[in-house]
Amino acid sequence: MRLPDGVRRLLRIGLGRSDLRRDLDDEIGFHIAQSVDDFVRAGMTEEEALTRSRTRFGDERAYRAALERIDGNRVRTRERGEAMDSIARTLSRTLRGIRRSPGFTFSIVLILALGIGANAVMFGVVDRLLLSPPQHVVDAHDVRHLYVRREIFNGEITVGSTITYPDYGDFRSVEAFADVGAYHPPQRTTVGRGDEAAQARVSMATASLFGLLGAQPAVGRFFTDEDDVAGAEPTAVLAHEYRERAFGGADVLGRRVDVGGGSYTVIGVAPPGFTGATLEPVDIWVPLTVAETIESGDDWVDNRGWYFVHAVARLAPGATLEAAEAEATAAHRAGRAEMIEQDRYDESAEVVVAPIILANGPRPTSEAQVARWLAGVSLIVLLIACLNVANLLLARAIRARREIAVRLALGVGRRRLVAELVAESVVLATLGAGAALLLAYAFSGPVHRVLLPDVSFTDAGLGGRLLGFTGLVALGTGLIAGLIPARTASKADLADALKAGGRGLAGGGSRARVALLVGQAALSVVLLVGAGLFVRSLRSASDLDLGFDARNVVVLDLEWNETLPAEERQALYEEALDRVRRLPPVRNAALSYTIPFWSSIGLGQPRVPGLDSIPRHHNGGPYVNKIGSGYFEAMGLAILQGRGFVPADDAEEAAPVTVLSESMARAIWPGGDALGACMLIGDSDDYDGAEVPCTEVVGVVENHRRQELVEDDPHFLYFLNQHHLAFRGPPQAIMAGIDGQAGPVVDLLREEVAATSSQIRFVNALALRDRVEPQLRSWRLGASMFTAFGLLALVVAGWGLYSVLAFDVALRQHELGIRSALGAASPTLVRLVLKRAVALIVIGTGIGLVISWGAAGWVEPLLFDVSATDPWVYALVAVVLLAVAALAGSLPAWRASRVDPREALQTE
Amino acid sequence: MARRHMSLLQGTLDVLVLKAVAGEPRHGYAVAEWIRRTTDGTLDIEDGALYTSLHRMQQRGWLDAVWGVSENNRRAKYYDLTAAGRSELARASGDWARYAEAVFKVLATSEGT
Repeated sequence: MRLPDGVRRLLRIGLGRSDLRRDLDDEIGFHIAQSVDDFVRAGMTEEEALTRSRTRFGDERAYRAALERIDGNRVRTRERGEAMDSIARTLSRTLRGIRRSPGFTFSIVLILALGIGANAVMFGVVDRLLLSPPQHVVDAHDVRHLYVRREIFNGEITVGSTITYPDYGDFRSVEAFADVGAYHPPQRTTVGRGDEAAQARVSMATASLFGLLGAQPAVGRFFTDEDDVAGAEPTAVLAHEYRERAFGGADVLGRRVDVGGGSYTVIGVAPPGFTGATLEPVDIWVPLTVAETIESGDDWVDNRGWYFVHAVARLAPGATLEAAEAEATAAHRAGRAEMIEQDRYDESAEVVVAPIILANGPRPTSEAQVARWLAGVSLIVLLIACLNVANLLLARAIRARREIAVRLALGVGRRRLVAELVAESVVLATLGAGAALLLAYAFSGPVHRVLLPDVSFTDAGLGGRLLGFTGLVALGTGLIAGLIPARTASKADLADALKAGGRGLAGGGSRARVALLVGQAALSVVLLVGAGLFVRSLRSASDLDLGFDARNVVVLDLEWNETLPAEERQALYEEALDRVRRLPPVRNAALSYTIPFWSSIGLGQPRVPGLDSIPRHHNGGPYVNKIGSGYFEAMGLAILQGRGFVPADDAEEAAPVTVLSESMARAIWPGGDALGACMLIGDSDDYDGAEVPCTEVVGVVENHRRQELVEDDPHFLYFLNQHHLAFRGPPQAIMAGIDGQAGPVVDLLREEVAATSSQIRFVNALALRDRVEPQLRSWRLGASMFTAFGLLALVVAGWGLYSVLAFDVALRQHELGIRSALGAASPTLVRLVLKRAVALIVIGTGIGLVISWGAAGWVEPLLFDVSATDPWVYALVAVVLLAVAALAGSLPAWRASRVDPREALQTE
Repeated sequence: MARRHMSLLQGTLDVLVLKAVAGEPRHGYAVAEWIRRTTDGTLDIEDGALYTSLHRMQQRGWLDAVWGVSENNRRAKYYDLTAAGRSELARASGDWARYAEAVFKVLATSEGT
C-alpha cells in the first residue's frame, strides 16, 4: 500500500531504505533490458544476450551493495543539511522578527521575566521549606524527627516534638534507631562581656546529633561524648557564618567565648550553611549536658516534667518506619510507666517517626503551609503571563495573516509555520528566563530576609536546581505560549485571508484571544481575592486588641556580669527604672516579673473563704505577675473596677492587696462583687510557717493575652513588687510605656539603662510589639506575596487587555473609518471600543469570583478572623478590575474616535 | 591483430563519465555505450563500475539525477552535470592533458633506446 505523498513527505518515508533499493532495481533493470535489446538486435538469442549483458555488468551483488551504501550516505548527508538549514532559517527569521519590533519583544520578555521570575523566587522558598532537607544531612531519608502524640486535657490530643531528657534516654535504647540525638532550638543568648557583649543564636545539642546527621566540621571537630557529660570542660562549635561575622574568619580554635552564664573553648567550626536538623540559623553550638547544667543546675536530668529538647533519630539499616514507631512507642510508655500508673500521663501516648523536612511532618509551620499556597499562586502568575504572551503572539500572527497565507500558498508547510511560531516563543521565553534569573537574584535575598528570617537560605542562591527549574519553566512557557497562536494561525483559511488581508472584522483567532483575555482576568481576580483576604487577615491579626498597647511599650531586661544577690539586682533595677522614667518620651514605666509573649508563672489555685473551690480556666493558670506601681498605666491596661496599686500599698506594714484580671474576677464573682473580697494565696510554707494572710481584692483590670494572639482570656492576679511574700526575687524587666511608637526610642532606652551600672552585662531592649511579631509572620508572608503576585497579575492582565484593544482598533481602522464616514459620532466609536473592554472584563471577573468562591474552603484555615468569602474583598476586587478595564480601554478608545475616514480608507 | 583491452587507471573512470554526460543528460546505459563507442571498445569497463562512479559523483554533488523516460519509453534515471561537476571535469581534463603530454614526451625521446 502506498501512503499519500503528503503523509509520506511528513514521515520522510520517501527517503527510506526500501525506496532507494527500488530505485536501484529500476536503474539496473533498465540497464540490463536495454543491453539485451541491443544484443538481440545484433543477432543474439535472448539467452545469449542476457548472459553477455550480465558478464559485462560484473558482480551484480557486490556492485549493488556498494551502490546502496553510497546512496544511503547521500540521503543521510542531505537530511542532516536540511535539518540544520531549517533550524538556522527558523532562528534567523525569529531574530529578524525580534530586531524588527523591539517594543513588542521587550514587552513579551518583560511579561515572561516577571512570570518566570516570580516562580524562580518561589521555587527558592519552596525548595528550602518543602523539598530539601537541611544542609549537610547525609541520606536524609533515614533521618527522622520524633514526635509524641498524646492526650493532654479533657480529650484534647496534641502532637508535640518537645520532650524531656529522660524521654530522650528511652529513645536511645530503641534498636530500630541507629542513633538518636537531641537539641534545644537556637535561642538568643548574650555572648561576650562588657562593651563586646552581643546576642547570638545559641543551640544546645547532644554530641550524637552531629554524627547522626552525617555532617563534617569545616575546621577542628564536633563534640564527642566526653564533651557532653556533666562536669566536662565547656566546649563550643561555631557556625562558619558566625565566625566570619564575629571574628572576621580568623583562626578561632582554642579561643574562649562567654556564652550565657558559661565560658566555652572553641573546638571546631561547622561547615557553611549547617543548621543541624532544622532550618533555623544557629551561630554557636554548645553541648547540651554542659550548657543546661551551667544555666539550670541538674534538675532536668531525670525530671519528666522538664520539657525542653527535640529528638532526631537515624533509622537502623533495614528498619521499617512501622517497626521503629512501635518500638519507640513501647520504650516511651515503659519509661513513663510510673506516671501512667498514677494516671498522670496518657497511657496510649504514641511516638511518631516523621520526616526530617519539618514541613512534611505532623506540625508544619504556618509559613510552610503559606509557602505551599504561594507556590501555586506563582504558577497562576506564570499562567497569566503565558496567556498574555500567547495573546500578543496571536495578535501579531493575525496581523501577519496575509503573509502567512501567501507563504502557505507558496507551499511552505504548516508544520514549518507552526515550528517557526513555537521557536519564536521559545526564544522569547529563554530571553525572559535570563531576565527572570536576574530578578530572582535581586529579589530572593530580601524576600528571604524580610519574610522568613528564621530560615537559613545560604544554599538557595542560583543553584543548579534553580537553573534547571527555570529552564524547564521557560521551555514549557515557550511551548504553551507558542502553540496556542500557532494552531490558530496555521488553520487560517487561505482564500479568506488572502482576500481580507490584514483588514477584516474580528477575524480568525479572535475567539481564542477573547478566551485568553477572559482567562487572564479571571485568574487575576482569584489572586487579588487571595491578596485581599490575606491583607485583611494581617490587618485583623495585627490590629487585634491584645489588652496591652504592644506598639507603645518597650521591654528592657538586664543581664549581669556575675551572679548578684537578689537585693542588689532589685536595687539596680530600681535605679535603672528611675533613669528610664526621667526620659521625655516615656509616659510611665514599671517593673515586672513576667513579660507577655515571653514568660508567665502559673500559680496554685487560690482559695476564697466561703467558696468550696473557684472555677478553673481550661488553659491552666491562674497566672501571677508581680509588678511595680504604674505597671497598668505603662502597659495601657485600663482599671475597670476599684483601683490600681498606689505607693502606700508597698509600705512594709501595709495589708496585702491584689488586682485581678476581669476574666478571673468574673469567673469567681459572676455578680461583679469582687472588690473587697479576701483571697488566700499559697500555703503557710510560703509565709515561713505563719498563717496565710487575707489578700484583699482592690481592683479589676482589663484582660490581656498571655502568649497567643488568640486565646481565651487567661486568669491573671497581680501583686505589688516587694510586697507579697509568696513571690520573692527581683523583677525580670522594666516595662516602659511610650508616648507614640515604641520602635524609634528602643535604642535610647537601652543606652540609658546600660549606663546605670558596670554590673550590667547586656540590656535586652525590644518593643513589646516585636515579641508578638513572629506570630504574625505567616499572614505577613501571605499578605505581601499574594499582594505582590496579585498586582503583578493585574498589571500583566491590564497590559494584555490594552494591547488587544489597541490592536483591535488598528485592525478595525477600515471599518471604523467607514462608520465615521457614514456619520457615526466620536462618542459612538468610543462606546464601541469600551463596551468590548468592559464586557470582557465583566465576564472574566465573574468567572474569577466564582472560582474564588469555590476555593474559599481551602484557604480559610490560613486566614485570621476573615471569612474566605468576605463580600468587601470580592466587591473591591471587582471594582479594581473594572477600573483597570476602563483605563486599558481609554487610550484605544480615544484613538478610535480620532480615526480619519479618508486616511483609513486609503491604507489598503 | 587481436584487440588489446586496457584496464583503467584508478580515478580515470570518473573523468570519462563526467565527459559522457557533459554534452547532454544520459542514463547509465547510454553512458556505457558512449564510452565504448568513443574508445572503440579499447577500455574494458564493467558496467557495474560505471554505476559506482555515477552514484559516487551524485553523492559528491557533481552529478544531478532525475527520473525520465527513455527513447523506447522505459523509466530511466538520467544524469546531468552540476556546476560543481562541470568545473571538476575542466580540472580533471586539464590534469589529464598535462599528464599524457608528459608521458608522451618521455616516450617520444630517442635517447635511452
